[in-house]
Amino acid sequence: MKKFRLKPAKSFSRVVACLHWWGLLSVLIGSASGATLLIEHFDEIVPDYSPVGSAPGWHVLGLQGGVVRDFTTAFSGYIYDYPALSSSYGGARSGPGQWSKGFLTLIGNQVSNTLVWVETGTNFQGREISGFSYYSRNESTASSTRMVVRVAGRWYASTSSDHDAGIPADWVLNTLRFTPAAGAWLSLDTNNLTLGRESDQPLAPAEISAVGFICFPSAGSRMRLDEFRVVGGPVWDSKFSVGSWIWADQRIDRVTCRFWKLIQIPGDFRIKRVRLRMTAHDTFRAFLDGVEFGRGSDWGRLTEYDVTRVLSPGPHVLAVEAFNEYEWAGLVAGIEVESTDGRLIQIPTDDTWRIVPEEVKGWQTAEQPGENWPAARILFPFCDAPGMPESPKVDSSLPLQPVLIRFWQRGWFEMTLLTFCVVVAGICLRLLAQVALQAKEQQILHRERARIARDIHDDLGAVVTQLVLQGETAQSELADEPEARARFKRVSDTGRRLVQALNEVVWMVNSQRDSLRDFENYVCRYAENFLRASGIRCRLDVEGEIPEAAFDLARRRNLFLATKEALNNAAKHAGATEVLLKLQVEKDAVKVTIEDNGRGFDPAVPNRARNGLTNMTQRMAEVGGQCSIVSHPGAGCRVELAAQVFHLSSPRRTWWRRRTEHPNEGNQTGNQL
Amino acid sequence: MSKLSEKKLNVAAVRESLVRVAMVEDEREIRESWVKLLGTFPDFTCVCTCASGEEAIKQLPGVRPQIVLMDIFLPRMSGIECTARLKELLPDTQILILTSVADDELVFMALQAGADGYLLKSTQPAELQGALQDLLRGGAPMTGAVARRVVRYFRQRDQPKESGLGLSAREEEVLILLSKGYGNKEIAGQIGLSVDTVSTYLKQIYKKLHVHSRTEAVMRYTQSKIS
Repeated sequence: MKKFRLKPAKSFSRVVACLHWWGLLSVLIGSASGATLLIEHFDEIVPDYSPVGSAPGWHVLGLQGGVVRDFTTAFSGYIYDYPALSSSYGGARSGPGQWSKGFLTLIGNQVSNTLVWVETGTNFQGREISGFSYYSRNESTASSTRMVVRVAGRWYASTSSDHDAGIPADWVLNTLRFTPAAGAWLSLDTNNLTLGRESDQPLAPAEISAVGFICFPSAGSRMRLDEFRVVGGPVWDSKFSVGSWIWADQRIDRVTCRFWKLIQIPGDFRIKRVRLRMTAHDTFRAFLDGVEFGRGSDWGRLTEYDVTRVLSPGPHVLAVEAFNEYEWAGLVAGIEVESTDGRLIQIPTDDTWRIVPEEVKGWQTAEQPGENWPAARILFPFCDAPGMPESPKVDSSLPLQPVLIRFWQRGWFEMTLLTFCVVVAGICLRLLAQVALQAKEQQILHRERARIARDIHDDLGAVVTQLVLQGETAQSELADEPEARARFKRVSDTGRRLVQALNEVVWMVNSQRDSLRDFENYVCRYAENFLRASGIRCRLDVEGEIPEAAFDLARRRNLFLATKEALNNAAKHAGATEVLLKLQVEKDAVKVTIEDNGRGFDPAVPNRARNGLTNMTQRMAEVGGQCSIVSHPGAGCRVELAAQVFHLSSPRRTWWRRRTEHPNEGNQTGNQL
Repeated sequence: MSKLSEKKLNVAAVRESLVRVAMVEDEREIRESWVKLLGTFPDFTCVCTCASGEEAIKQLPGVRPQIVLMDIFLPRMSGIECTARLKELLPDTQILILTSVADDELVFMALQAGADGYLLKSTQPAELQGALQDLLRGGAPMTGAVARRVVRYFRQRDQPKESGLGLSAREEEVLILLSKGYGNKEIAGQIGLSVDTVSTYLKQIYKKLHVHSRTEAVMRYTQSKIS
């Protein structure tokens, strides 16, 4: 009787399980601590077993009568002759690595436990094996299967499975995954066997020469196995430029699965072409950096997207929402980035893709995966998909064009602009309102000034004139009373001075005289009258035509008072016999020059009597004008006064005020004065 | 009786030789003061006083004064309008504008309307007397500012000199000198003319001004009153 032993791989405590070729009753499953069993002496119990790894292709092998038999051909058809290993129907293998399309039914016959494995060979058609999986279903009473693997010439088996309870159950997926991670020689997670190794050296795929299972069906029991898959080799399918089919661990009908992948294109990569192919069983929606760019619903056809224009060097998020109607589920995609210098980046669908839990929001643009986002599971290579047509079609879509949204087309900019416009409009309205108010105030002021001028003239002026005349008549009537006469004369003279002063006030206040021409007239007449009264010759020199420009009250008044001061100085202090009053208008300034032929003075020598000069300077400074005094002892004195005139602000030209609102039309409204 | 009548005749004769002055002034007190003052001038007699422009137009043609003293601000018909109308009725009558406030624009309008001169109401009696005598002698007083306004006026009108309505070169020269503050005598000295000739030029200028603009000034004035 031949037997082979199973021992816990980790503890190495020997728990020996004897497998009798003909009638082995029980299998001792590894003690509590052991998760994986080493099947020892397999070579002993299968003495004539010779590896067939050198032969190309898959080989389905089984033990029969202590002899390893190749069932590859038999399995392709119906297997009747072997009671413990049969297939309910034969399915054609559709590609390397796939052993499917039919149930393998193991019927317990009391006397045989069955070891079935797939001889992967050391050269697995040039592919590396990364895993192995199959579905199992216990259809009757207790039966169990163990996954087996041959690494470096030794066999290992998993220690437990869902079927151990011996209760008929639904299909269970059993997987074996080889991880390059060190520190885990073999570990078992219910039905999932993970194979690593204790040493730091990663497991070389070539060391795995066979994968399979041992089945321990009890008598009369029936165990079904289906969809054997060896996941292996490069995940990149170079023929179709896609990766493997991937999905979440759980496959539930009518459920959406969301995939997330960060694509890193190096900064120095000058992109020549980026091609993205994908399809899903059954439908998908794809997003690149949060923007949906494609949908598909025919899993048998690959859709190719030219994303050259939308992918730039740097990180990008590819997000896919796939929906499974029924049957198997999978997503497959491949991104090929070509640089101008011939470099190539291939990004396949593999277990670096993440499954995004349902509740996560904004996953389509998330640049980091969440901690609880599990890795996708690699199902099988692209061509191994069940029912995959011999030559899947590739549909090309038009190259994706980046919708260039300029910054002024963006919401924030438009909002800012809108806000800005509203603010500006508000400010403008406010200013306009202020201007209007000011205009109104100005207008009221003008009217008031005109009224005050008229009142002074009509009432005060008339009364004082009467007073003067009364005084004069009284003088004429008091011919023989010289003292009284002299008094009345003083009254009259004072009255006259009062009239003079009133005239000045009226002229200044009167808004109808706010023009440069009125200023010219007034100053000239004042000079004429004043100098004549002082017995000084007056020379006037008005250069050219004085424009009708606006000359506001403050400027007019200060320039006039300064001129008056200068004339006064010439008459009182200089002892002049002739004074020249010169008026010039240059561009925006009016210049008044008062030149006398008097005795002059030294401006450097301070003199209390010359307060007038300081006054003049101050007056001109008040309205932003200038005052310069040139004098030398014995050489007369020249005072130059300059003030600004605003042609543009001429009230007569201001568009928003109506002409009739302007009392400044001296000719037409002269009767008001 | 004869003595008395002789005296009356004498008075009449004296009156004949006196300059007949009329006065248009709405303020009674001022009117009376002026009358009194005029009474003190040896060669002048006040022959008529009117309180309004309408009254003046009604009465003065019958009285035919040589000089009319005209206030600018009168109720209803203004002094300027009244001047214009009187000038039509009595072309030879000299009209002297009296104003309480010196305003060149108003003065110019009055001159346009036909006034022959202007004075401030507060002018000293002696000065008034001199001005009246000047007026009779044919002198047309004009200040520098007004002269400048006149020059501007004629330039703006752009009258062809050949038509005789524009200013002649001499007239303009006189006006410009006037506007520079030169007195009549000085002007005469400057351009080598007699003082009388200068006065004549001024008179001529006045006339041209009147011809152009009397009706125009009246119209403008009445229009502005309406508006």
